[in-house]
Amino acid sequence: MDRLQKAFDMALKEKRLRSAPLSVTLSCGEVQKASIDLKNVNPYVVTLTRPHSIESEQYRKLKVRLFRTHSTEYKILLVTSPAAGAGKSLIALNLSILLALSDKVLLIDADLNHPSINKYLGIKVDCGLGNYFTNTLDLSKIIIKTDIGNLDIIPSGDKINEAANQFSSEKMRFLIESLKNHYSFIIIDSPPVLASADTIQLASVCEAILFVINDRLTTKSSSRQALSLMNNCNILGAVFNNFPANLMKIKYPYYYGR
Amino acid sequence: MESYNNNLSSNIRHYWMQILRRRNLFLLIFFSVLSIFTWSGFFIPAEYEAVTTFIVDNTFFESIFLKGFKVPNTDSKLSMIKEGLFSENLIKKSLQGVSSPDKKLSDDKAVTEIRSKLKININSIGEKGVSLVRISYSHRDSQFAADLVNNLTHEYIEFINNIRANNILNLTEVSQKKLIEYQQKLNELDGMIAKFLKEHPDFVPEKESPLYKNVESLQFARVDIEIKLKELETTREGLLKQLEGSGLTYIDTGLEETPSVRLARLSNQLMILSAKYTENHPDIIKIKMEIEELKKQVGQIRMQPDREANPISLQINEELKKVDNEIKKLKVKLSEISNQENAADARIKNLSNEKQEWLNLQRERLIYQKLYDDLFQKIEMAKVEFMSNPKSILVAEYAKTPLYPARPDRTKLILIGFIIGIILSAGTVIGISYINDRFNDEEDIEKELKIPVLSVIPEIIQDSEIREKKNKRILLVSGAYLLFILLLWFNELIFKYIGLRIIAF
Repeated sequence: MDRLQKAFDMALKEKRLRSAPLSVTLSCGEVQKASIDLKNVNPYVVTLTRPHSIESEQYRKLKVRLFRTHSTEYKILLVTSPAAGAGKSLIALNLSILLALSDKVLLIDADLNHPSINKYLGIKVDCGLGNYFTNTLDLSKIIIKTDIGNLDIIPSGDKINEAANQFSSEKMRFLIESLKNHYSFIIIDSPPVLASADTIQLASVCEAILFVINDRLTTKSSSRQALSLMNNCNILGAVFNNFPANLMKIKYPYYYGR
Repeated sequence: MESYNNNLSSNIRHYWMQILRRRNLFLLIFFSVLSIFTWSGFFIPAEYEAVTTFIVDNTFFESIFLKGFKVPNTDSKLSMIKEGLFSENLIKKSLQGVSSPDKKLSDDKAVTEIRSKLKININSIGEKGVSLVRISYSHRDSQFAADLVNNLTHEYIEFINNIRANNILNLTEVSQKKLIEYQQKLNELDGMIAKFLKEHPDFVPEKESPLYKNVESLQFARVDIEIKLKELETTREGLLKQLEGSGLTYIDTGLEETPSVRLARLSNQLMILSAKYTENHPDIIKIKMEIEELKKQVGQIRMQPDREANPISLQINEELKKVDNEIKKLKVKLSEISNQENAADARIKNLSNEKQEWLNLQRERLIYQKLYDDLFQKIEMAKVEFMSNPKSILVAEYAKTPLYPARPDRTKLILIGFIIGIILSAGTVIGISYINDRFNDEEDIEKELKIPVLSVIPEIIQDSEIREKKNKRILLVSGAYLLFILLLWFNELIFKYIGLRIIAF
């Protein structure tokens, strides 16, 4: 019976991991302010849920390498990957949280088809970037202020047709130029390069690109193909995500107490 | 040196990471290979190897060959022993005392099968020292293998001792008869000399005259050459006999003379009689007829197809050529002496009848005395040799019924399976990491995409924990199975070397 109970508990835990409940609901048309409850935050957002973990340490390493070694001239950073499921949104969110501890940061969820940032933070929103493009809301109405440091987010909002055109439009340029002066860093979570044309258009308005590679999903050929599509862009480097923990113990024994 | 060490440790770490990355595949291949090797050892029909070791005194090789044959080298000894042990007669004799599990097999097939599985190994310690001969035979019936090897060894030793004994006994028996003949002849000649001196009381033998001295020295020289020729002829016949391959077969049949030996003996007898009697003497005619008959028989044997060229045959041929040359030289010398003797005879014919008769009597007695002395010496030498060297082959260890199968050797199979398993599984995993389209590590990304890796984010602990739990179960089962095979290996190892089996399979 104990074993059955344990299995049941584990299944419940797994379910919670995959789909965290969304308890905070925000409605359109107001200046948005969201209080993030840690209980509702997805455990994968390690910089919030387990700030002293090895995973968080690796995000801190990423932050240092990105903005200390490359100076702060890059304010607008696009996070993308060759294919879906590589962990772009989580990397963008965790990085934004770490940056927001000291600087003013805006995180834009530009994946209009598969929005995920608000889900990871455990908030439900009805409006976002999509609504801005369809002229239903002003820019100030789609920004959500969080209580995580100086982090603001723009969720994806309503789905729109021909998003790629919108991303290369004057409206998008206006959005970036307007916000650039208010924030130290703007992080854009984009769709996969090979799955959508949106990313290529988005790359044209960004200053630098962070390329996410997943250990189990990303292939060499798809990575090469994605990079060739973005050959004129400023790619800062790659983040190797989902690296097996047992191999990390060999590669970084210091963190694992060996 | 330091950079080399760093590279080496980095490479080892890289490969180790690839194995860890695909450890389940590694374990699957490793245990599959290990299992195939381990369990095949229990399903392949077992064969047991029985081994006998005997020590051969190297002087024995000289004694079994007839005089004039060079002592064979190690390879030739090995060939000789092999030919003996592989001979059909010997194997058939050995099979008679053993209950064969292959009852369906005919004798010829059984012999062929035994020959194919019989192994002989010889180690010589010094050219004049001893040779250690190891005979081994493998069969699925351990008792049969041990019995056969022991029987074969026993038969071989008996057979070899027979050859030696036959050689010496042949020599002594035939020679003793001859010695008696010579003795009788000498007595007869002494009687004739005494009678001659009685009939001619006034006759004074002129032993010191130059003519007598010359005739005497010529007679001695001729007898010496004739004896040497006789020996060489005997050697030649012996060599021919060995070349025809009749050595092992003829001698095995018992004490009866072979046609070649009898021919040599009769030729020798004819030579002696010719010195005494004319060609029309009935004994000479009888011997000549018998010689002609024997020559035909020997000729027929020689017409048989050539045996396979082997080191012994080549050596015999070489020896035969030398003997033929020597015979040729001696015959030339003999004809020169005969000419000189004829000249001396012509001078003797001018002498008185009394002197001629005395001279003939003296010459004949001298020949027989020389033949008698020579033969007597040889018989004594042969007896001394036989008495002083009664056993040339000594069995160091008879075959015991083997308990542990020689094939398949389970301990070896498990060890081979372990090594091949590791090599194959590691090779496959590392090979896959090379051809795989996914990135192995950050160095791989930097190399392939030419962009820096800013950070490596590990999988979330919860995910890895779930996977680790599953992996732990696999590792536990694998460890238990490996331990079981290890115990099995120890069990077989103890049984192989100590004969104690903890778990019986």
